Amino acid sequence: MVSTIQNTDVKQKDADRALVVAVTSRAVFESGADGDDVYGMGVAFPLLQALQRVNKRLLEENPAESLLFDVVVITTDSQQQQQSSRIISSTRHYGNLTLTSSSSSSTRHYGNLTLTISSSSTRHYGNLTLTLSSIIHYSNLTLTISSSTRHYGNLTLTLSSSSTRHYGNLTLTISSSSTRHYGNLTLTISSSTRHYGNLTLTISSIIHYSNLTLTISSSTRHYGNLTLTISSTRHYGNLTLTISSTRHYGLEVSRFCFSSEEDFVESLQKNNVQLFLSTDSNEAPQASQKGVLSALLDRQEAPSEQLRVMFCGDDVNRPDAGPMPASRQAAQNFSAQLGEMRQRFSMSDSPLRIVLVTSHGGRESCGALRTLRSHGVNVDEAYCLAGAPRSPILSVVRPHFLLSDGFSGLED
Amino acid sequence: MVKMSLDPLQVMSGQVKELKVSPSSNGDSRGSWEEKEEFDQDHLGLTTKPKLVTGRRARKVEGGVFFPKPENAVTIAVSSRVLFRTEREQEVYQQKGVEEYLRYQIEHENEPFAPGPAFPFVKALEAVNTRLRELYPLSEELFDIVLVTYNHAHVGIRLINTINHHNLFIERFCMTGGSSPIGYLKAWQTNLYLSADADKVREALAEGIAAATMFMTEKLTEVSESQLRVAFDGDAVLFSDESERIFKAHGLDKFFEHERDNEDTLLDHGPLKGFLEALGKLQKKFYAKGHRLDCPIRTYLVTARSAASSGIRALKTLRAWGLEIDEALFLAGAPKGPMLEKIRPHIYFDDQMFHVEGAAEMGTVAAHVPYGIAQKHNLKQKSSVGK
Repeated sequence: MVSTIQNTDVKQKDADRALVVAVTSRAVFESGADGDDVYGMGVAFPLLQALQRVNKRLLEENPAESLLFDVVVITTDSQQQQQSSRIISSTRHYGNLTLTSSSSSSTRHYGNLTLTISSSSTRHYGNLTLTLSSIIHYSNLTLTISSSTRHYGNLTLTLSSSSTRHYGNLTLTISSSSTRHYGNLTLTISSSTRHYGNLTLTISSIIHYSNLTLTISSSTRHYGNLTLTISSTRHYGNLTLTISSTRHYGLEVSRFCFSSEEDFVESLQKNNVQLFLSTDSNEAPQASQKGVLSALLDRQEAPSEQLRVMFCGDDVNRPDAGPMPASRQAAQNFSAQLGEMRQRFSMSDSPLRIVLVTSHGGRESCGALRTLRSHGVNVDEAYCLAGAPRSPILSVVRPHFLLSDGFSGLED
Repeated sequence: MVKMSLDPLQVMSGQVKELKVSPSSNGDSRGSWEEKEEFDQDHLGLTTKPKLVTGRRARKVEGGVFFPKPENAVTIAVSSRVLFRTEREQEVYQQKGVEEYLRYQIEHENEPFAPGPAFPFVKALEAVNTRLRELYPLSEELFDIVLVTYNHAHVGIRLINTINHHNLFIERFCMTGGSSPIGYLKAWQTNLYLSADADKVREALAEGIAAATMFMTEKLTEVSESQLRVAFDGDAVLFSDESERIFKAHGLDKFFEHERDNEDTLLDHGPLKGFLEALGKLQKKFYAKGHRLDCPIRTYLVTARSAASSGIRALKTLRAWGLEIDEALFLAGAPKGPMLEKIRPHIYFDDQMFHVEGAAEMGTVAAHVPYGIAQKHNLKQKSSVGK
C-alpha cells in the first residue's frame, strides 16, 4: 500500500513542465543510531544540493520558470516504508543557517557584542555561515556557538572589518558535544589596520551538552534557512540577539512516496518520474525494465557543486531496429528537457554541465553529438575514448550520475 | 609513463652516433648517412587550403579498429589550435564573444580547417605507426594521438569533420568545454602535449608532462612524409637549465670552466628527456627487426654547446641515461636556423624564443618549451591568445 505525502514546506512544481527525479530514501539518508529522530546525510546528499542550486539559479534567471527539478524521495522496501515520520523530519531538518550582522552605518563602536547560537538539534546543520562585518571596531566580541551532537556540514566564520582600530578582546568559542568532527571549519579574520587586543580561539569538542536551545520566534518546529540582519546607526552598549525566522526550506523535496519492494516501480510510474536514482544495483534495472530511466548512485570523493550529468553515448546513435524501447524513449525525453534547462544558462557559469563520453572513436561519436543536438541537448564536454578505460576520465569529470539508453551505472 | 617490453636485441648502450662538429653551417653535415627516400619532397599534406578529398585511404588495420591502451602507447596530446589553423575563429571569439564564436563554428561545421603547425608532425607519427603495425601487428606500442581542446563539444563536429577530411587517424578526443585539460592529460598518461597557449603548456610542465608551445609560421619548408624527424635543444629541454644559469649569471668563460670541472657529473634531466626516451624505445623496435638504416624515426640534438668542450658533458649524460640520439650538432654558438633548415625536422624543441623564432624564419616548425632560467630573459614572448 503506497502512500504519497506532499511536503507542505516546499512549493509544489508544475506537474506538466517539471523534471521529476526520484531518489531512494536509502540514498538520501544514512541510518544513524535508532534512537535518533533524524538521519544522517547519505550518498545522494551532494546531488540533491546540486539539484537545488540549479533550481535556485533557474528562478533567478526567471522567477516564473516552470522547468525545474521536482525531487521525490521514495522508499523501496518495507522497512523504510515504516520509517515515514523519521524520513519526513530528516528532510525538514537540513538546510542552511545564515546569520549576518552588519553595521555599515555605525560611526561608533560596539561595546560588547555577544552572539550566542545554540540549538536544540541533535543533528548537524547543513551549512552554518556566520558573517560579521563592521566598519568600527568591537571592543569585546564574544562569539559562542555550541550545539549538535554530530558534526557540522560546513562551518564558516568570517569576521571582517574595515576598522582602523583594533578589536579589544576577541574571544571565539566553538564547542560541541559532538563526538565526531566538523565537516569543514573555515575561520577568517581579516581587516583592521591595527592589531587585535587579545585573540582567543577555542574549539573544543569533548563535553556533552544535554540541552541546547534555539529560540526562533516564528516557528517552534523545524527550521531551514535563517537570515538575520542587524544594522545600527548608533553604538551598541550590550547587544542581545533575537532571531526571527522569516522563511525556511529544509531540503527541497516536494513529495514522499512510501512504497515497498513490490510496488515501488508502480509508484514511480504513477508519479511520472523521469529519472530514478538509487544506490541499489537491483532496484535500478527493475525500474528500467518497466521503462523508467534509472541510474546508479555511488559515493563520490569530492562531489562538485555544479550538477554534472554524464551521458554514455555508445547507444545514442543505434539505428532503430524496431519500435523504440520504453527506456530509450524515457532517456530521450529526459535528455531533451535537461538540454532545455541547460540553455537557460550561459556557456560558462552554469550550475549544470552536460558531459558525453563514448567508448567509440571520434567518427562514431560524431553521430552521438549530432543526435543529442537534434534533441536540443548541447553538450559541454565530450570525451571519445576509442577503447581507453573510462575510470580516469570519470575521476576527473566527477559526474553525479551516468546515463545511457536505459540503464547504466558508474561502474566501468 | 611508458612501459615497454622489448626483445633485447641490439640494444646499444647509449653510444651517440654521428657526432657532428659544425663550427659553421655549411650544409655538408649529412656525412655518411644515406639520403634516399627520406627527402621525398612531394605532396606532404602541407596545403594552406583544404584539399578536396574524394575517397578515404583504407585503414591498414584488419579486423576492426585497433586502439592502444594509454599506458602502452606513446600518447601525444595535440590542441586543435596547433593541429589546424583556427585564426579566423579565434578572431571571432575575441571580438564577438563566446556565443557568437560557437554560432560561427556550427555555421561552418562542414568546412574543414586548414592544417596547422603540428599537422606534418602528426602525419609523420601516423607514418611511423603504419610501419610499426607492419612489423608488430599485435603490439600496442604505437603513437597514440589525442585531440585535446578547450572547445565546447559543439565545435567537436567540425573538428571531427576536419580530421576525416584530412584522412587523419585520430580517434581519441577530449573536448573540455573550458575546463583545464591538465587532469585529462594525466588521465591519458600523456607523453607530450602541444598547444598554442603558453599558460597551459606551463601548467603541464609543472605537472611533469612534457609540453611545448607551437606557433603558426607563414614559411614552411617541406618535410619528409615517411621519416619522423624530431630535433631537440640540449639545455633546459633535454637537460636541466643548470648550465644555462651559470652562463646567464656569470658569462661564457665561467660556463666553460664549470662544464670542464663537471665533465663527469651528469646533467640533471629536462622536461623533454622522457619524450626522447619514448622515441628511443620505438626506434629500438625497428632496429630489432633489422631496420636500423631505414628507421622511420630520427632524432637530433641541436645545441649551442661546442663539441670539444662543453659538448662532452652532454654526450656523457645521454650515454649514462642509455639514450641514443641519431645526430648531435654542436654549433658552438652559431645560429641554429640554417642547420635546422638542412635537417628539416617535423618539430624542433627549444627553451628560448629567440631560437624558436630564428628557426621559424627559415621555415622550421619550432616549439617553445617554457622552462628554466631563459624564461626570465625572453623579451620577445608571444602573448597567448584567449582560449
